[in-house]
Amino acid sequence: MKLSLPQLASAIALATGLIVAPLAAANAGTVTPSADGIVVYNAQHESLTQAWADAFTAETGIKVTVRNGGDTELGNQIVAEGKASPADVFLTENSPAMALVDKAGLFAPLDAGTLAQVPAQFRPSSGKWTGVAARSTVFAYDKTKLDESDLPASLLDLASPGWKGRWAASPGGADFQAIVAALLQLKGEKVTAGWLKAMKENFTAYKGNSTAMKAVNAGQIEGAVIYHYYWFGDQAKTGENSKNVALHYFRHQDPGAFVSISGGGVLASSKHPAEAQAFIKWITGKGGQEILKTGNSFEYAVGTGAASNPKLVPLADLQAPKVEPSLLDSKKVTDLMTDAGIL
Amino acid sequence: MSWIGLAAVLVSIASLLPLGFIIWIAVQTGWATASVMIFRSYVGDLLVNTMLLVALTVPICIVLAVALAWLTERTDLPGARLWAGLAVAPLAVPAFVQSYAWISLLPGLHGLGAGVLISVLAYFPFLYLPVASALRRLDPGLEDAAASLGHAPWQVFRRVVLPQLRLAILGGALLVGLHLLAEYGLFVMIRFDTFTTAIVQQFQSTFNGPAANMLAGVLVACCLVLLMLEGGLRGRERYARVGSGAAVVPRPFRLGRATIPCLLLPLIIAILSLGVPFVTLTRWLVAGGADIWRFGQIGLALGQTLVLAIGGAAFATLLAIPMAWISIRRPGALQRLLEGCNYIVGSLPGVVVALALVTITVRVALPLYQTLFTILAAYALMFLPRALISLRASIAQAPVELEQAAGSLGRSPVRVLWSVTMRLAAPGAAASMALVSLGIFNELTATQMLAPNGTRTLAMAFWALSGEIDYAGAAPYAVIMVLFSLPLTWLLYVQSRRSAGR
Amino acid sequence: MSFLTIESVCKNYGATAALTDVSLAVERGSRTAVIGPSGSGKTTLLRIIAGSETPDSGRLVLDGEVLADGAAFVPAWRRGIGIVAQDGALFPHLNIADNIGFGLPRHDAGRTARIHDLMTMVELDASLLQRRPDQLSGGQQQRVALARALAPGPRLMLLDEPFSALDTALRVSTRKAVASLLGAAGITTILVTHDQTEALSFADQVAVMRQGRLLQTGLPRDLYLHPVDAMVAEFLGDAIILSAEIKDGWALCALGHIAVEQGGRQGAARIMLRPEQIGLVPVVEGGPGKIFGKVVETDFGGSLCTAVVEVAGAGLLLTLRRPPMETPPAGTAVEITVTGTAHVLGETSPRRP
Repeated sequence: MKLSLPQLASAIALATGLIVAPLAAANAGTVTPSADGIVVYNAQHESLTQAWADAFTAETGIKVTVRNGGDTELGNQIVAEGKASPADVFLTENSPAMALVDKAGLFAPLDAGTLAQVPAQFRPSSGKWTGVAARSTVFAYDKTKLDESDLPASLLDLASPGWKGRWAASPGGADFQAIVAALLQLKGEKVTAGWLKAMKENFTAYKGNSTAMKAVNAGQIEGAVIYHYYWFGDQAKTGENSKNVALHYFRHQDPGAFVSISGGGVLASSKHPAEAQAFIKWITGKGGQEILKTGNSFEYAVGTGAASNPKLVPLADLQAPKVEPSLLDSKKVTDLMTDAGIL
Repeated sequence: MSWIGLAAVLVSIASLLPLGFIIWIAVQTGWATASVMIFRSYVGDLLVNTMLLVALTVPICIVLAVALAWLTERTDLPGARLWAGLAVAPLAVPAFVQSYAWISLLPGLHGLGAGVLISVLAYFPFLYLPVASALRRLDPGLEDAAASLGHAPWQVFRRVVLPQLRLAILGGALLVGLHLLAEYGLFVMIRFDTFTTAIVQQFQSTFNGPAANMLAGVLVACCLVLLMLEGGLRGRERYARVGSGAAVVPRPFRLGRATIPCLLLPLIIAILSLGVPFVTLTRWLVAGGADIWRFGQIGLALGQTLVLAIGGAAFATLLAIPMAWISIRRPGALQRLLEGCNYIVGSLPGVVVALALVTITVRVALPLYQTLFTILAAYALMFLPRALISLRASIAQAPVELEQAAGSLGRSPVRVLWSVTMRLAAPGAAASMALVSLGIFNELTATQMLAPNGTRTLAMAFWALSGEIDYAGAAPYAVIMVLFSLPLTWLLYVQSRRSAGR
Repeated sequence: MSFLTIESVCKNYGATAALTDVSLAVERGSRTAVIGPSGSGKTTLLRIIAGSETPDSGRLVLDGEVLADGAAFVPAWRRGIGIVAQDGALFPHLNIADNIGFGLPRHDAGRTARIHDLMTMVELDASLLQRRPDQLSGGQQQRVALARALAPGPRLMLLDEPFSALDTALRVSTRKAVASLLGAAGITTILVTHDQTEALSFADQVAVMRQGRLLQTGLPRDLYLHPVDAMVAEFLGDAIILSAEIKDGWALCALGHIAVEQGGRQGAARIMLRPEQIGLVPVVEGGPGKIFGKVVETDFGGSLCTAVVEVAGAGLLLTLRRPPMETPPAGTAVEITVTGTAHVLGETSPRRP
């Protein structure tokens, strides 16, 4: 390890400052966490948000402190914190957690300029939050074991006994829970509960979509319900964890063709509303959307006129079902999954 | 009673917060809802998993630790000191790093078998340390006496040595059992569900939802069952050494032709518990090359980890002082009660303590929410028993006559404690801090849930990167954790030898 | 052939010689005391007999059975030799009954009765049977240890300073009880101790060790009266060692002419007297042919007092312990008399077995 002493010392000094600051603020009893930027509760991939934050700070000089966590974890956390939340901005991978916070009335309306940058299909009509990126559900399968004819025509087929022990998912993650939320909205509670019950029998749980894809690649399991970009991301690096994996898009407005919208919103309780609004505006604008196209996230860009990475199957070709993002019910989903014994 | 006593009582009451929280939540949730959440098949699965894990891992650890301790302490095994060191060294490898090493060596590893294998490798030193130290303290005269009464060596071992190792074995087994209940990262990596992994998963899905709290309640019940089990088996027995004669230095058992096969045991264990992490980490470091050393991020994470570890250790040790002082100078019913409180809380998994503090601060003590204070308080609660151990030992060695002398010179008890006792007990306090900081250094679950915004400790960074299967990127964090843990582990080793009086 | 024969046993710990060429014979049913200062190798000798240590060389034969001979070695647990250690070494995890019954077959029908018998034998109350060792006094612990060692009926009993942890009064009574018990049972016994009173009163045969060597072996009385050298003499009790000129059965020394034992040695030698051979008779003034002295200092010590006597004209100080009525006050002029004969050091005892 080559860490010089001055480097170490400055790191410690920086660290002390970073974690003592909230304490000092709290002890002082004042509610102004000083002018040193905004706090983002981030459930998006750390690397993507870090790239956004770094570019935003570079451009505007506004500092960004990130707290990382899961969609529903941070969503519920903001609800629990209520008006006292230290968060200024909330970013998610999927819509249900945004809907959760919105339902609690904790979002401030977004600036009209921000909303104008995102087509209506990628944001709720309330204007309380907006899509910032999008991702498609896929069935990632082991192409050495499965032919295209073996693939499930619908997500619902994975509940059939024929798929017992053959597919994987990451049920603890917000991604999969968003897919279930879409299923719930599209097919109703009865179908969803039945499907989850069958899933409990059929599937193998992995922690994280990357891990699930890695297992498919390693031949441990035949397929996994994940999002598309894990495969592209790995292919862009070494392909080590995806070389045996191909993606199957369900299409045909199937629940499995669900395109999930990653959301961003400004908390009504924000002490720095202007800076927070600027951040959302920036990531939905040209700079932020460009990072989606050129970076390693391989998520779809949603900004008006913004292009996605050319390697991706175009959004328009995915034949996604129509889902109202603001009505995706994360609470109901976790309850159903808990009832089914998956959580 | 004095201020010191008052302080000890306050610390103990504070330490009961998490337990009180679980009870409060259970009452608030109501039996109808709670029972639906508790008596469901998933919880049954978790219970079976967790019980099997404990029931398999603990006995294997006991057999392994006793065998290793006997080989290193009582036989003429070549390089016994080296093997003794290598039997303690796995403590420097955090359990989730051990798991990461194995999973990247054997990607298909999962389930109960894998859980038991990796848990044994990660936790057997917790049994080896006390057993080896008890073996060193054993009076070999007893073994001679048993032999003179016609007992063959293996009978002597079974009827004389083992019964006297009982307390050490029970204590170590309890520690291993509690770690198994509390561990998160190790089991997530190999896809083995326990209560703790399920609680974290629920937390990640619902923040502080009632389902997570109910699972925590069951987990707490499991911990209490372990505590009672240990207490019951321990009974009232205190195997005080009878008589005062000078102990004879035991004659090492001659292994003779069994030397080579006996060498295999510590060798294989060292390869599995240390060799595998070493090889895997080296492999990822080489594969990752220079790119993975992002010094800015790594330095920041290291700095934050150090601040938390040192701060938490200082806080825990400070809180432990009144407790330790009372247990030495004013032993009695009150002291036992207070100590019992601390002990129970120290046995609670980090995830439960964190869940309690998150909910309490967010609902009733918002100014403390997400502050450095809260996370340090969590660490202090979790590691208070650890801090107590060395502190108590060194206060016991500070002569009470000095305190009395200082008191007779007109100093108040608190000032005496500070200016006399703690000066003399300083080495013990330092050891306490080292032990606690070792725990905090590698802590993951509570840190993730409680850390102030923007915190990213080594463990958190390692966990995030390995979660995205960036195993190479995670390697530097793992290496730093191991490197920083090594001297602390060494200290633990030296201390255990010293406490054995040799 | 003796019951136990130790032949030329040597034992080294690294460069340190713990035992050098030790030979000892022990008769069946006898009691032998091995005495020596700490570090003299007596405990090592005991451990070698017990089988807790192996000799580097030499032979060990018990009742015709070779226990150790070079590489050949019978392990401790097959020797049938009982030990009572200094601190009793009772098993702390077992109660008294289980301690005593440790060497008895566990499912034997007569086990309980035997344990009770042994308790009676060592004069302990049966109510103690359920106690833990740490609930017993030191003397009781030693009796339990003895009962435990007696239980399996050992061929030989080894006592490793078993009375040293007890206080004075208890030590004497326990020693007597143990001696009579072992004598009644007819068990051959070896006692290791650094206490000469204990050794002399307990044993039929005393062996004195120093620095890993056996200096002298014999009857207690012989050793006391006819020690082979000054060290043995002083180790077994107070001794007055004087330079003398021997001639025709008489020694000429600072105390005048003293008869010596037969042996025919002539010329310069060192002689030994025990203080109890010296008599002090207060006198007014000296006469010819007598030795006079002056009490220069006394120290009252109850039943035994100490008087320091300066021998006139010789520059010699004698330190004598004697009863108070035989201790003249300081300043008293005394005539010094000697009863019995002086022992010439370097000469072995004439009646050595």
